[in-house]
Amino acid sequence: MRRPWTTRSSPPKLKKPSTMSGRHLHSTVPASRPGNAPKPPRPKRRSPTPKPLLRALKTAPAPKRQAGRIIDEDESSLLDLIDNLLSKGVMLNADLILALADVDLVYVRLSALLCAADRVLPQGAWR
Amino acid sequence: MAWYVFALVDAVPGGRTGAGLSGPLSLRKLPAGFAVVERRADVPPVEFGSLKKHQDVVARLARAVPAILPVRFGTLLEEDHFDEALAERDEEITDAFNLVRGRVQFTWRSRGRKTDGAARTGKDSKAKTGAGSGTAYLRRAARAANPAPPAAFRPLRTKLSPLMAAQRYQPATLALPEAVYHLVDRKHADRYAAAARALVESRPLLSVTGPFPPFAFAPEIL
Repeated sequence: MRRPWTTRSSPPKLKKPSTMSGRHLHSTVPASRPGNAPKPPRPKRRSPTPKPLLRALKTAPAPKRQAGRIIDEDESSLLDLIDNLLSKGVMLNADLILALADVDLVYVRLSALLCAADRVLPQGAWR
Repeated sequence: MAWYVFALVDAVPGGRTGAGLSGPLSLRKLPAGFAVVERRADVPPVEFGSLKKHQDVVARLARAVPAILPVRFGTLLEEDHFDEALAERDEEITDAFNLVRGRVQFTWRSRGRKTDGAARTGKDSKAKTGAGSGTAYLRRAARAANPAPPAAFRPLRTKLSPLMAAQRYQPATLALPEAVYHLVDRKHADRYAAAARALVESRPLLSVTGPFPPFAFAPEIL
């Protein structure tokens, strides 16, 4: 249980008057228990390793498997798309005109194959 | 306006050719068959939507013709460059048509296998040094040119070889994992799929997708 500010045992070193008005102060302590009443026993500290939670996670792999299956399927279709269409590279066509003062000087018609180096060069040559 | 080329086919597709990426498809006669083209001013962007559309067009055509050779994505040719690009390739294209006629492609991948790039590099560096005899060097060079599928894919050959017409192994690249492509007769496709399913169940690290048009068996010039 969180301790309310009114029962703080170690006040701040630099003591400043509170700027909060009384209306804003509130406590989670029920009104039936006065502030100077004996403290209720502290709840037992939790074990540093919440074993039941871990066990629960370990014994519930179904959602993970489901996600894995879905990801695999999507990945597979995308992978096939890329493999089928892009593994051989793509053709790029471009018209390049170099001009100076609105005068076209050089015209380059570019038709290029854009492809992964390891597909067109011999094994190991591109490393 | 230029022609955007989807595929070469050996016959006029049965039924309507349908639409391409944004306009109607048409056929251009070639010495060895037909080119399926669409009038376009520019190359479609390399994005998922256009890639998917392109693949769908090719898949639809593949169902309508005996043989299809998919062409590289983004191939846009001017009228006069069209014949030039395929000049003196008739024989090569005819051979490729003969290979893929009435057949579909299945793609196998091994999920658990890491790429063996490092191992390959080691072998390559040894090959580069030219250590050993000339025969050994030529053998190494031949192996590098036509690498054999690794052990993970060996069961495919033993279990599926009666049903497949051709096989190609593609080592892993920087972008794609290694894959084994099988070319299977359409009439055997169902039996092949059943056998492949059984194989995948017994070996969960292997995965198979297909049937596809024979993308992996089109000649490199296309």
